[in-house]
Amino acid sequence: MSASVLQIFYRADVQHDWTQQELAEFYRVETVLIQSGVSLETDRGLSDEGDPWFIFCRPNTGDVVVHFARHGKEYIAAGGGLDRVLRGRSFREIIDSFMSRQPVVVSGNKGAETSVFLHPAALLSAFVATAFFLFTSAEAEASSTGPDSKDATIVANAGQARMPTAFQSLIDAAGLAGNRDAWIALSTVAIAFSVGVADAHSDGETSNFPGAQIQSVEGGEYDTESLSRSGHEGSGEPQAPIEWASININSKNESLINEEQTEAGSIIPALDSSTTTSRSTQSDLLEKHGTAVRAEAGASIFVEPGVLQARSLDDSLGFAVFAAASEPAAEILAVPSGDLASEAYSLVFESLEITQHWAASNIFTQNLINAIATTTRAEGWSSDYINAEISFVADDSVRNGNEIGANIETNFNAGLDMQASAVQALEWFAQAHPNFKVVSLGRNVVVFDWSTINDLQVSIELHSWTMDDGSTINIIGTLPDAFSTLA
Amino acid sequence: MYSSPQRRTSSETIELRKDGGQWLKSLREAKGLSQRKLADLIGTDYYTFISQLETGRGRIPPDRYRVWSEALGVDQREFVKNVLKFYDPITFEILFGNEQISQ
Repeated sequence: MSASVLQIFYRADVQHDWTQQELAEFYRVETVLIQSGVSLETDRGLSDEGDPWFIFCRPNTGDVVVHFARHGKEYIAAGGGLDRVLRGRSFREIIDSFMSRQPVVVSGNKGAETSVFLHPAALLSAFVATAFFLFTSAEAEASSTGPDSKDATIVANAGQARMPTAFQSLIDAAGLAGNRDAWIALSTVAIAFSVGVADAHSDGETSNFPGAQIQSVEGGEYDTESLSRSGHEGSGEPQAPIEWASININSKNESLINEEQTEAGSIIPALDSSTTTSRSTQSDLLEKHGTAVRAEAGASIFVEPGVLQARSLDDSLGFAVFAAASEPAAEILAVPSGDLASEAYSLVFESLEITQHWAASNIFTQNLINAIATTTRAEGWSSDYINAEISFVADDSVRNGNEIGANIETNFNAGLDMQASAVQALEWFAQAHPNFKVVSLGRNVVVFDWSTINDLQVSIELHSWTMDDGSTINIIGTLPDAFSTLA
Repeated sequence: MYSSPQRRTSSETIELRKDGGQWLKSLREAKGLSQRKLADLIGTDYYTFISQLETGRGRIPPDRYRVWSEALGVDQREFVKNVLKFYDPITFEILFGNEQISQ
């Protein structure tokens, strides 16, 4: 079977420095994490035998959080943010091994019903980000075990201060300081969002991130074995050096994500009408390589709902990561980047549902409602019940690939089971802040700053409030003035 | 995990680590060891860690000082004093002041 395999890293056949593609991926991770608020530095070098290494470290202390290396044909990840040395035939293997041992990503459910595509760089970014958070968490924990509780508290807080502000506000609000699971979940949110922004600014083949080049090279042999190794033995030049991964989500919101089942029983991701091109491409892909794709899906990493703790999780999220292949590679790359961005945002929204499981307290909630409701009454907006639904709609420019990003439409319908004051507030908010889109996922409302998609320099914040009835309001973007006093 | 609790500016820390890395490299080369051989002697799982340290990134874990000094064939006390000078300069100054270190 002849096809191109998209992968994160290809395996080098000879010992030498990192390939340009490998370096591009490292620097892309660096850019994404810095944009997400992670303070870090990178460095690299060669051993006396010529084997390359690349490190992510803390800028102030020089502490190495993650050390990547390639010893001959073996890839290695180690460092203070990891509890052991990870080895594999590719970085993909290492990442899979690491993520499979994290509390939010374990093997299990293969019956995921829908798929949301996540940019491949998100996997490596999430890996490094998680290592940073584990490093910070362990450092704070170690520092707080001293006999002087006052000093220990100061040191612990200093460690937390290095957390991205987007995470810190939610962690503090929910009383989750020191909760490693929450940090990991939030890192997933931030990384997914950052990558979504990156995709939205990509022309499909070349990222705008400095040094990050996504290339499409056709040719090469494809089979499940080589895909699982993420390598191309015997090829002197890198093939299509991108590996698309997807995250499957058992969505509770039918309006957000549709699904399409093939005769073979595999799931093809589809996002309403916006993903016409994507669905077609994926259908063709599976028709040509159905066996291989299913085989990889079987080797996926899944999030086991049970580990998300709290509440009834029977209908909770099931994540899966699997590789996909294309023939030719250009078909995948032809998918409008807006679709990818939309799908990444879907992940953000679903991830927020995860964080909601952890954020169980009632911090700020009534104050939020009261404040906005008061403003609403003053503005004279109606008190009709509304239900904000989200649908991803691709306009002509998106379909033609001339413009990046899909539109989000909000449709207000009657019958939302929420407090009237909150509903009023949302309606007022949507009218007063046209850049913000209101999204309802069950009892969870996400207010998303759509304007941020066009500004890579903007500081993204994540805020979440939990209502007395368990519903949540989450804000992604730059916090509006109406909420500033509550943050 | 071993961090740097003694805060200094980033540039000071980097320069000290670089000096420490060069010192370690000189000891290894004087002993005629490759980086891989030294890694074997000290029990490090990945030998590029040696290259990283010699570049001035990261630090030797304190619980490995003894095995490092033995592998490099240097006196333990002098080795640790040097390590403190590069990794924990404040501690070094408190303990030894301006005392010179034998190389």
